[in-house]
Order: sequence, then structure tokens, then C-alpha cells
Amino acid sequence: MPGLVSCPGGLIVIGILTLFFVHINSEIWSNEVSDIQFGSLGSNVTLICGGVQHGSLVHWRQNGSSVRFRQPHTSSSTLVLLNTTHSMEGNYSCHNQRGVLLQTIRLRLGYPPGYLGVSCQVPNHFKIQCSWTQRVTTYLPTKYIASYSMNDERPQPCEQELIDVNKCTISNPEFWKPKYLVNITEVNPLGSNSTITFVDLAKTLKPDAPDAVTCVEVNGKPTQLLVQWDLPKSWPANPAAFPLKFEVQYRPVGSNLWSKLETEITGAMIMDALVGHLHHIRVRAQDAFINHSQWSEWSQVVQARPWSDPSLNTEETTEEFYESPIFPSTFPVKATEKSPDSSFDENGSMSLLIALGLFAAVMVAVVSAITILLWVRNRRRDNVTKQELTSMVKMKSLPI
Amino acid sequence: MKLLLDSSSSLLFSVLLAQLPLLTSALPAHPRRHPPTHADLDKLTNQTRHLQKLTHDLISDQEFDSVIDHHRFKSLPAISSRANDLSSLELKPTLSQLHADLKSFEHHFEWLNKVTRKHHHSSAPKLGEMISHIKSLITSLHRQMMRVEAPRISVPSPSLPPPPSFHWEMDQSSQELLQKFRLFCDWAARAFLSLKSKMQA
Repeated sequence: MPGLVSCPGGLIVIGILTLFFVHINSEIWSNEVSDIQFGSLGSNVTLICGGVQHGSLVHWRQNGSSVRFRQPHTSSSTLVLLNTTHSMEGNYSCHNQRGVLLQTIRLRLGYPPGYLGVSCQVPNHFKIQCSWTQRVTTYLPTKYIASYSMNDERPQPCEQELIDVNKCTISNPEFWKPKYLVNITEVNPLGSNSTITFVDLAKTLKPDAPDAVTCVEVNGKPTQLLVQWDLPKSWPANPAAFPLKFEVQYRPVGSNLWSKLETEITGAMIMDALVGHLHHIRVRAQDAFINHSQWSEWSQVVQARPWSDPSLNTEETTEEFYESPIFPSTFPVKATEKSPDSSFDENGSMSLLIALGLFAAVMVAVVSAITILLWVRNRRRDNVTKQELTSMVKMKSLPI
Repeated sequence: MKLLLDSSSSLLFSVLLAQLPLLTSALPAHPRRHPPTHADLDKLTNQTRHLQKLTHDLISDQEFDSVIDHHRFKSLPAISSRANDLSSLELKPTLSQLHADLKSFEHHFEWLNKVTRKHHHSSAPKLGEMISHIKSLITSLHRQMMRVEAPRISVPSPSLPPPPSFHWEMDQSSQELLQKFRLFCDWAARAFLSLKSKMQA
């Protein structure tokens, strides 16, 4: 025995056996369950004690305790539960007069299947993905049968990869058929219900967002930015027959208004970037042939600043100085490696604004200086007057 | 005598030689067989895209863009192809099939145009414009078929529904026809692009 205890393998065996017995004790009730009965919540449910001679009286228990619910129509071997609620779920057992267990029934309550919320995505011409959710929770074990049909043809299965994930895929569909019907049938112990959804593939087609968006300055061009991106990963790798069109949006950081460009290739040159300013750029895609298809979501926003002449870097002040008059509330305070001074002459309105700002500052300074001078002068004059008055008073008070 | 025979035979030979170009030019001319160029396929693609846009505008103009839940036209071409099929298209059969399908749509649209005019429907002028564009595309397509000697598929006479008695019946017919034609144009434009990319490869 000491050998057994000291041996680690023995300890493990003892541990497993202990756990096993503990498990049996806790689950002893459920191990006796021989039947599962399903009932509809809110309705009346009848439990029948099997194997009982007609007329024999039985005693019902719920989860080991006497049944608390009144059952006026209970006959000798049946238990009628009225207007059922969740609290009536559990393990029921019927016993004879001597207390011997006759049968156990596990009661589960829920609702029959209802209509589902079905939505389908078409990320390219090769795939339709449909997913669904219960509109009403049924509380019961449920399975789904997913199928589709075109133009009233024979239904075909919509493939479910995982049985417990409410999603199915139609691979390589006949895309140019006008009518696609997706049928998701929900089945549970209380019945079945089919939800049929019409899918217009062309209208639903929505590419994923363009991938790997980059934006760089163009050397020597202070108003240009080069934006490039990849096709969405889910789009056909050889896109000859599946052209996309793209919308590029860009704006200086802090501005609310986006400018836009459209193109059918995976790159675009912004020609009117705001000199010296950091810009936000984003891209989205749509099938080039189907105008009524969906635009993709926007790509991630990228930032870039147009080229500025590095030789003029050290001459002037920080960018905050001239950026703040345009976008005072949200402009970034981060200083960058390039000074945008050199670009001032190229942007007339910008120069005008700066000039006006400088002029206003000078004017304020001049006015302030004049005000201070006047104030000092007045004060001196006041002092002189006070001194004169004092001397006059003194003179008056002197005995003649 | 021998000299005479020799001279007459050589004369005859000379005459025959002189007639040879005339004889050859009198034979029925076969067009030179060469595949369509990129520009030809681009033109077909653009014509088809233009038709697709016209169709789209006509659908949008109508009061409702409904789901087709009726089949008034039993003989409309239906495209059972999948996206994968585009990569394996062959030039000649594709041109022939598209030509036949376009001819069929042309017949159907002419029927629609006739009933639309009868009902004084507002879409009649645009339908007329669309039919002329269909005819133009058919001509371009036929030209390319001749160049590659693609066979012409005979188009069965369409089974057309009885003339609609009510305005809504005509709207439904119009919707069905336009929506199916828009799908056809989409397929055809992609088919031309696919053929072009195959030529590049």
C-alpha cells in the first residue's frame, strides 16, 4: 500500500477513480433518465409513467422533490403540467406506492421553429455565403437544412462546413441566372419551418475592401501623391473578366470634405494635394460592369504628405504656425521631417492667408504698444498733477 | 506543219496564261481568315457595356424594379455558365452563341417595342434606341464571325406571349426582358474580355 501511494501512477489512478465516483454521485439523477420529452412553452404538457398497470397510483417527483405544480387532471399514471414555464423543466420521476422508481423523464421546454433572419453575401462571382439567426429563441436542440434553387429548378444543397455554425456556402454558382432562392429549414423536436430568401446576385455582389493601400510622395511634386493598392484578397487573382472600379478619397487631416478620384486600375495619382499637409487617403471597390452592385467597405485609412523641398527645411517656423489658421481645431501638432515653406509661393491663397495673419499680428502689436505708451504717459501726468495738488495744499497750510 | 502546231499550242498556252488572273478574280472571294484583334474585341466589349448601361437606365426609369416571379418569355436565352467557365471559352463557338442569343433578344425587344408603342408608353423611344444598338452589335459580331469562319447558329423563332392587355402586364414583360438582357450583356462583355486576355496569353 505504501508502495501504491508513493507511486505517482497509483496516485493518478486514485485521483481518476475519485473524480469518477464524484461525477457519478453528482450525475446519478441524470443517469437514471431514460426518456427526453419536449414540450412547447406556454402550453399544457402531459407526462406518462410507462410500465404502470392501469389504475395503479404513482407518485411524481421533479428533480427529486415532490411536484409543486397543481395538476387537476392528473390520472393515476399521468402528470399534466398546465401553461408550462421554464421552471417546469427538469427531470421527472414516477414512483409506485412503495417509493420504487418506475421511470424518469427529462422534460425540455421551448418553442417550435419560427422564421429566421437570413442574409447572404456575394464577395465575388465564385461564392455566395449565407448566414442566419433565430428571430425567436427556441431553447431546443436545432438543426438546419440549407439549400438553394434557381429559376424553380431542382434544389441543391448549400454546403455547411460546420454543423453548429449557422453559415453555408454556394461555390461557383450560375451567376447569370436571374433568380436565386435560398431555403433554410429549421428543424427542432417541435417541428420545422422554412425561410426562403430571394438573392439577386448582381445586386448583392460586394467585393471586400482593397488591400495593402499605400500612399507616397512624388519627388519634386509638392501637390502630388501616388496611391497604390492590391485587389481584395477574395477577388479573382486573374481579373481579366472581372474588372473592378475604385474610388479613392483623400483630404488634408482636419478637413471634413473628401475629394475623390475614380479609376479601373490599382493605382491613382492625386494631383491636387494641399501643399505641405498631411493627408488621409482611403479606397473602395465595386464591380466595374454592374452599376447596381454594392461598393466595398472602405480600406484602412493611410496617411501621407506631399513632397516638399528639403533645402528650405531650416528657414522658417514649424508647420503649426501656418497650418493652424486653416484647420485650427484638429490639426496635428506633430512636427515632420520636411518643412513645407518652399511650397508657399505655389499656393496663392495660402500665402495670402499667412500674409494677412502676419499683418494682423503686427497691427495688434502696434496697437498694444501705442496703448501701453498712452497708459504710461497718462499715469505720469496723473502723478505730476497729484504732486502739484499736494504741494499746493502744503503751501496753503503754511503759516503766512 | 509541225512548226505550225508548235506555234499554235504555245499561242494557246500564252492566251491561257493571260486569262489566268481574270479567271481567278472571277472565282467567289473568300475573306482572309484571321482572328479579331484586341481593338476588335475592345469594340465589342464597349458596345456591349453601352447596351448594358442603356438597359440599366431603362430598368431604373421604370416605376418598379421588381423581382422576376413570372416567366412570360419562354424562349429567352438563359446563361447557365459559371464564372469558372469564362477561362475556358473558345473563340468561334462563343462568337456564334453570342450572335444567336443577341438575335433572339433582338426579336423579343422588337415585340416589346411594338406593344410599347401601341400603349404609348414613355419608354418607347429609348427601346427604339436600344434596338438600334443591338443591331449594331450584331453587325460587329457577325463581321468578326466571318473573319474566323465561325458558324452561324440558326435562331428558332421566339415564342412570344400574347399582346398584354393591361399596362401592368406590359411593365412586367418589360422588366423580365430588360433584367434578363442586362444579365446577358454582363456575361457577353466578360466573355469578350476573357477572349481578349486569351489572345494576349
